[in-house]
Amino acid sequence: MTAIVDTLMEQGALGVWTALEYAPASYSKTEELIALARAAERHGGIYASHMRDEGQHIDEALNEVFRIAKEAQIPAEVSHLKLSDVAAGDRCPRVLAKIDSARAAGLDVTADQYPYIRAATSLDASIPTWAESGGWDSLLIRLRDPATRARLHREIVNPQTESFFVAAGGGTGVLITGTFQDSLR
Amino acid sequence: MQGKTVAQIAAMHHRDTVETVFDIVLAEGGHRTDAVYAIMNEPDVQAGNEAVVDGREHRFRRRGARRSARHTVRASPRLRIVPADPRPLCTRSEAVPLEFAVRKMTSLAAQRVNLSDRGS
Repeated sequence: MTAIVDTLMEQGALGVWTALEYAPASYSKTEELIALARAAERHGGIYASHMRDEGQHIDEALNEVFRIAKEAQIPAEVSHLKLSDVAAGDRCPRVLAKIDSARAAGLDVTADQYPYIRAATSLDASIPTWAESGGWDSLLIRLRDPATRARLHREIVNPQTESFFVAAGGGTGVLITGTFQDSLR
Repeated sequence: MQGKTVAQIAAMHHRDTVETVFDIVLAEGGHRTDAVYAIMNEPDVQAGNEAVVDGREHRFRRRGARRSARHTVRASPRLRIVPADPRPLCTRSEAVPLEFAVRKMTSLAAQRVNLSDRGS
Protein backbone atom coordinates (compact mmCIF):
# COMPACT_ATOMS: atom_id res chain seq x y z
CA MET A 1 0.00 0.00 0.00
CA THR A 2 2.91 2.38 0.57
CA ALA A 3 3.83 1.86 -3.11
CA ILE A 4 0.31 2.98 -4.05
CA VAL A 5 0.78 6.10 -1.92
CA ASP A 6 4.12 6.75 -3.66
CA THR A 7 2.52 6.47 -7.08
CA LEU A 8 -0.47 8.66 -6.25
CA MET A 9 1.69 11.32 -4.60
CA GLU A 10 3.85 11.43 -7.74
CA GLN A 11 0.63 11.91 -9.73
CA GLY A 12 -0.29 14.96 -7.66
CA ALA A 13 -2.12 13.75 -4.56
CA LEU A 14 -1.91 16.14 -1.61
CA GLY A 15 -1.56 13.47 1.05
CA VAL A 16 -3.21 10.52 2.74
CA TRP A 17 -6.65 10.68 4.35
CA THR A 18 -8.15 7.88 6.37
CA ALA A 19 -11.77 7.33 7.40
CA LEU A 20 -11.07 5.34 10.54
CA GLU A 21 -14.59 5.34 11.92
CA TYR A 22 -15.89 3.42 8.91
CA ALA A 23 -15.28 -0.05 7.54
CA PRO A 24 -12.87 -1.18 6.25
CA ALA A 25 -10.47 1.51 7.56
CA SER A 26 -11.72 0.83 11.09
CA TYR A 27 -9.87 -2.50 10.96
CA SER A 28 -6.49 -0.82 10.41
CA LYS A 29 -3.72 -0.58 13.00
CA THR A 30 -1.89 2.63 13.88
CA GLU A 31 1.42 1.14 12.68
CA GLU A 32 -0.05 0.67 9.21
CA LEU A 33 -1.22 4.29 9.15
CA ILE A 34 2.24 5.48 10.20
CA ALA A 35 3.76 3.58 7.27
CA LEU A 36 1.32 5.23 4.83
CA ALA A 37 1.90 8.65 6.39
CA ARG A 38 5.67 8.21 6.04
CA ALA A 39 5.19 7.50 2.35
CA ALA A 40 3.11 10.67 1.95
CA GLU A 41 5.68 12.67 3.92
CA ARG A 42 8.46 11.64 1.55
CA HIS A 43 6.58 13.57 -1.15
CA GLY A 44 5.75 16.58 1.01
CA GLY A 45 2.18 15.48 1.69
CA ILE A 46 -0.15 15.82 4.65
CA TYR A 47 -1.93 13.19 6.75
CA ALA A 48 -5.62 13.92 7.38
CA SER A 49 -7.85 11.83 9.58
CA HIS A 50 -11.51 11.23 10.04
CA MET A 51 -10.72 9.97 13.50
CA ARG A 52 -11.71 6.61 14.90
CA ASP A 53 -13.95 8.16 17.49
CA GLU A 54 -15.48 11.61 17.93
CA GLY A 55 -17.39 10.76 21.07
CA GLN A 56 -16.45 9.38 24.45
CA HIS A 57 -13.08 8.06 23.21
CA ILE A 58 -12.02 11.21 21.38
CA ASP A 59 -8.88 11.57 23.54
CA GLU A 60 -7.52 8.20 22.36
CA ALA A 61 -8.45 9.11 18.79
CA LEU A 62 -6.56 12.42 19.04
CA ASN A 63 -3.58 10.66 20.60
CA GLU A 64 -3.46 8.37 17.59
CA VAL A 65 -3.35 11.37 15.22
CA PHE A 66 -0.58 12.92 17.35
CA ARG A 67 1.40 9.68 17.30
CA ILE A 68 1.15 9.41 13.51
CA ALA A 69 2.22 13.06 13.13
CA LYS A 70 5.18 12.48 15.44
CA GLU A 71 6.41 9.15 14.13
CA ALA A 72 5.93 9.98 10.46
CA GLN A 73 7.17 13.57 10.97
CA ILE A 74 4.21 14.76 8.91
CA PRO A 75 1.72 17.65 9.18
CA ALA A 76 -1.58 16.21 10.40
CA GLU A 77 -5.13 17.51 10.07
CA VAL A 78 -8.14 16.43 12.09
CA SER A 79 -11.02 16.32 9.62
CA HIS A 80 -14.33 17.83 10.71
CA LEU A 81 -13.48 18.00 14.37
CA LYS A 82 -16.63 17.44 16.37
CA LEU A 83 -17.86 16.31 19.73
CA SER A 84 -20.64 13.88 19.14
CA ASP A 85 -23.34 12.97 21.62
CA VAL A 86 -26.04 15.57 22.10
CA ALA A 87 -26.39 14.59 25.76
CA ALA A 88 -22.91 15.82 26.63
CA GLY A 89 -21.80 19.37 25.96
CA ASP A 90 -19.25 22.11 26.18
CA ARG A 91 -16.27 19.81 25.79
CA CYS A 92 -14.87 21.48 22.69
CA PRO A 93 -12.68 23.99 24.60
CA ARG A 94 -10.94 21.09 26.35
CA VAL A 95 -10.34 19.27 23.06
CA LEU A 96 -9.04 22.46 21.45
CA ALA A 97 -6.68 22.90 24.40
CA LYS A 98 -5.42 19.36 23.85
CA ILE A 99 -4.64 20.17 20.20
CA ASP A 100 -2.96 23.42 21.31
CA SER A 101 -0.78 21.40 23.72
CA ALA A 102 0.30 19.05 20.95
CA ARG A 103 1.20 22.06 18.80
CA ALA A 104 3.12 23.60 21.68
CA ALA A 105 5.03 20.32 21.95
CA GLY A 106 6.15 20.76 18.35
CA LEU A 107 3.62 18.77 16.33
CA ASP A 108 2.16 20.36 13.20
CA VAL A 109 -1.46 19.44 13.93
CA THR A 110 -4.53 21.41 12.85
CA ALA A 111 -8.25 20.78 12.62
CA ASP A 112 -11.17 21.81 10.48
CA GLN A 113 -14.85 21.84 11.25
CA TYR A 114 -18.17 22.29 9.54
CA PRO A 115 -20.38 24.97 11.05
CA TYR A 116 -23.55 23.07 11.84
CA ILE A 117 -24.65 20.57 14.43
CA ARG A 118 -25.74 17.63 12.32
CA ALA A 119 -23.66 14.98 10.61
CA ALA A 120 -24.57 13.72 7.13
CA THR A 121 -23.61 10.10 6.56
CA SER A 122 -25.38 6.82 5.88
CA LEU A 123 -27.96 4.89 7.86
CA ASP A 124 -25.67 1.87 8.17
CA ALA A 125 -23.30 4.08 10.16
CA SER A 126 -25.63 3.19 13.04
CA ILE A 127 -24.39 -0.40 12.87
CA PRO A 128 -21.05 -1.49 14.43
CA THR A 129 -18.42 -1.75 11.71
CA TRP A 130 -17.43 -5.35 12.51
CA ALA A 131 -20.74 -6.37 10.94
CA GLU A 132 -19.43 -5.13 7.58
CA SER A 133 -16.35 -7.37 7.71
CA GLY A 134 -16.24 -9.35 4.48
CA GLY A 135 -18.08 -6.67 2.57
CA TRP A 136 -21.56 -5.31 2.17
CA ASP A 137 -23.09 -8.71 1.34
CA SER A 138 -21.76 -10.01 4.65
CA LEU A 139 -23.60 -7.24 6.49
CA LEU A 140 -26.89 -8.22 4.86
CA ILE A 141 -26.30 -11.90 5.71
CA ARG A 142 -25.62 -10.96 9.34
CA LEU A 143 -28.80 -8.88 9.52
CA ARG A 144 -30.82 -11.85 8.26
CA ASP A 145 -29.40 -14.10 10.98
CA PRO A 146 -31.60 -13.72 14.10
CA ALA A 147 -28.80 -14.33 16.63
CA THR A 148 -26.36 -11.90 14.98
CA ARG A 149 -29.12 -9.37 14.50
CA ALA A 150 -29.97 -9.57 18.22
CA ARG A 151 -26.31 -9.10 19.13
CA LEU A 152 -26.04 -6.05 16.86
CA HIS A 153 -29.21 -4.66 18.41
CA ARG A 154 -27.70 -4.99 21.90
CA GLU A 155 -24.44 -3.35 20.82
CA ILE A 156 -26.23 -0.43 19.18
CA VAL A 157 -28.21 0.27 22.34
CA ASN A 158 -25.18 -0.25 24.63
CA PRO A 159 -22.21 0.82 22.53
CA GLN A 160 -18.57 0.24 23.49
CA THR A 161 -17.33 2.73 20.91
CA GLU A 162 -18.87 5.86 19.47
CA SER A 163 -22.37 5.20 18.17
CA PHE A 164 -24.04 7.61 15.79
CA PHE A 165 -27.42 6.19 16.77
CA VAL A 166 -27.00 6.68 20.53
CA ALA A 167 -25.17 10.00 20.09
CA ALA A 168 -28.21 11.28 18.19
CA GLY A 169 -30.41 10.37 21.11
CA GLY A 170 -31.91 7.37 19.27
CA GLY A 171 -34.35 7.24 16.37
CA THR A 172 -35.69 10.76 16.96
CA GLY A 173 -32.29 12.21 16.03
CA VAL A 174 -31.77 10.19 12.84
CA LEU A 175 -33.35 11.75 9.74
CA ILE A 176 -33.65 9.77 6.52
CA THR A 177 -32.63 12.12 3.69
CA GLY A 178 -32.23 9.82 0.72
CA THR A 179 -33.18 6.27 -0.21
CA PHE A 180 -31.88 4.35 -3.18
CA GLN A 181 -34.99 2.26 -3.79
CA ASP A 182 -37.95 4.19 -5.18
CA SER A 183 -40.28 2.01 -3.12
CA LEU A 184 -38.75 3.43 0.08
CA ARG A 185 -39.02 7.12 -0.81
CA MET B 1 -39.39 7.79 4.28
CA GLN B 2 -37.34 10.72 3.04
CA GLY B 3 -37.72 13.63 5.39
CA LYS B 4 -38.86 11.44 8.27
CA THR B 5 -36.89 10.38 11.32
CA VAL B 6 -36.26 6.74 12.12
CA ALA B 7 -38.54 7.20 15.14
CA GLN B 8 -41.39 8.44 12.91
CA ILE B 9 -40.97 5.56 10.47
CA ALA B 10 -40.83 3.06 13.36
CA ALA B 11 -44.06 4.48 14.80
CA MET B 12 -45.80 4.13 11.42
CA HIS B 13 -44.93 0.43 11.40
CA HIS B 14 -45.37 -0.14 15.15
CA ARG B 15 -41.77 -1.28 15.20
CA ASP B 16 -38.72 -0.78 17.43
CA THR B 17 -36.37 1.96 16.17
CA VAL B 18 -33.22 -0.22 15.97
CA GLU B 19 -35.14 -2.96 14.14
CA THR B 20 -36.39 -0.26 11.78
CA VAL B 21 -32.78 0.66 10.96
CA PHE B 22 -32.07 -3.00 10.14
CA ASP B 23 -35.28 -3.27 8.07
CA ILE B 24 -34.36 -0.24 5.95
CA VAL B 25 -30.75 -1.37 5.38
CA LEU B 26 -32.02 -4.79 4.25
CA ALA B 27 -34.78 -3.31 2.09
CA GLU B 28 -32.22 -1.21 0.22
CA GLY B 29 -30.71 -4.49 -0.97
CA GLY B 30 -27.06 -3.49 -0.83
CA HIS B 31 -27.44 0.23 -1.52
CA ARG B 32 -26.78 2.93 1.01
CA THR B 33 -29.42 5.13 2.63
CA ASP B 34 -28.48 8.74 3.33
CA ALA B 35 -29.10 9.88 6.88
CA VAL B 36 -28.45 13.01 8.91
CA TYR B 37 -27.64 12.55 12.60
CA ALA B 38 -28.26 15.28 15.17
CA ILE B 39 -25.20 14.48 17.26
CA MET B 40 -23.53 17.77 18.12
CA ASN B 41 -24.50 20.77 20.18
CA GLU B 42 -24.28 24.48 19.61
CA PRO B 43 -21.67 25.48 22.25
CA ASP B 44 -19.16 22.92 20.94
CA VAL B 45 -19.63 23.97 17.31
CA GLN B 46 -19.35 27.63 18.27
CA ALA B 47 -16.12 27.04 20.22
CA GLY B 48 -14.64 25.36 17.15
CA ASN B 49 -15.85 28.18 14.88
CA GLU B 50 -13.98 30.71 16.94
CA ALA B 51 -10.82 28.70 17.34
CA VAL B 52 -7.77 30.07 15.60
CA VAL B 53 -4.28 28.78 15.11
CA ASP B 54 -1.98 31.72 15.58
CA GLY B 55 -0.85 35.00 14.05
CA ARG B 56 -3.06 37.95 13.37
CA GLU B 57 -6.25 35.93 13.64
CA HIS B 58 -5.65 35.57 17.34
CA ARG B 59 -7.08 38.98 18.06
CA PHE B 60 -10.53 37.81 17.05
CA ARG B 61 -10.56 35.47 19.99
CA ARG B 62 -10.18 38.35 22.41
CA ARG B 63 -13.25 40.07 21.09
CA GLY B 64 -15.21 37.69 23.19
CA ALA B 65 -17.78 35.17 22.20
CA ARG B 66 -21.20 36.62 22.48
CA ARG B 67 -23.68 33.93 21.66
CA SER B 68 -25.67 34.64 18.56
CA ALA B 69 -29.38 34.01 18.69
CA ARG B 70 -29.54 33.53 14.94
CA HIS B 71 -29.07 29.92 13.98
CA THR B 72 -30.31 29.87 10.44
CA VAL B 73 -28.44 26.87 9.08
CA ARG B 74 -30.70 23.91 8.46
CA ALA B 75 -29.53 20.35 7.97
CA SER B 76 -29.62 19.27 4.36
CA PRO B 77 -28.00 16.35 2.58
CA ARG B 78 -26.61 18.85 0.08
CA LEU B 79 -24.51 20.60 2.70
CA ARG B 80 -21.74 18.10 2.15
CA ILE B 81 -21.37 18.65 -1.53
CA VAL B 82 -22.16 22.29 -2.22
CA PRO B 83 -19.22 24.73 -2.12
CA ALA B 84 -18.49 25.91 1.39
CA ASP B 85 -20.24 29.13 2.30
CA PRO B 86 -18.44 31.19 4.96
CA ARG B 87 -21.54 33.07 6.08
CA PRO B 88 -22.76 30.42 8.56
CA LEU B 89 -19.53 30.94 10.51
CA CYS B 90 -20.39 34.60 11.00
CA THR B 91 -24.06 33.92 11.61
CA ARG B 92 -23.24 31.51 14.37
CA SER B 93 -20.41 33.43 15.97
CA GLU B 94 -20.42 37.20 16.12
CA ALA B 95 -16.75 36.97 17.14
CA VAL B 96 -15.89 35.78 13.62
CA PRO B 97 -15.80 38.61 11.02
CA LEU B 98 -16.76 37.72 7.44
CA GLU B 99 -13.24 38.29 6.07
CA PHE B 100 -11.77 35.86 8.60
CA ALA B 101 -14.48 33.32 7.78
CA VAL B 102 -13.57 33.61 4.09
CA ARG B 103 -9.90 33.12 4.93
CA LYS B 104 -10.66 30.09 7.07
CA MET B 105 -12.66 28.47 4.31
CA THR B 106 -10.34 29.32 1.42
CA SER B 107 -6.67 30.34 1.76
CA LEU B 108 -6.09 28.85 5.20
CA ALA B 109 -7.32 25.46 4.00
CA ALA B 110 -5.29 25.78 0.78
CA GLN B 111 -2.10 26.68 2.65
CA ARG B 112 -2.50 23.59 4.77
CA VAL B 113 -1.99 21.42 1.70
CA ASN B 114 0.76 23.64 0.22
CA LEU B 115 -1.41 25.39 -2.34
CA SER B 116 -0.08 28.91 -2.07
CA ASP B 117 -2.06 30.57 -4.87
CA ARG B 118 -5.65 29.75 -3.90
CA GLY B 119 -8.24 31.49 -1.80
CA SER B 120 -8.26 34.91 -0.23
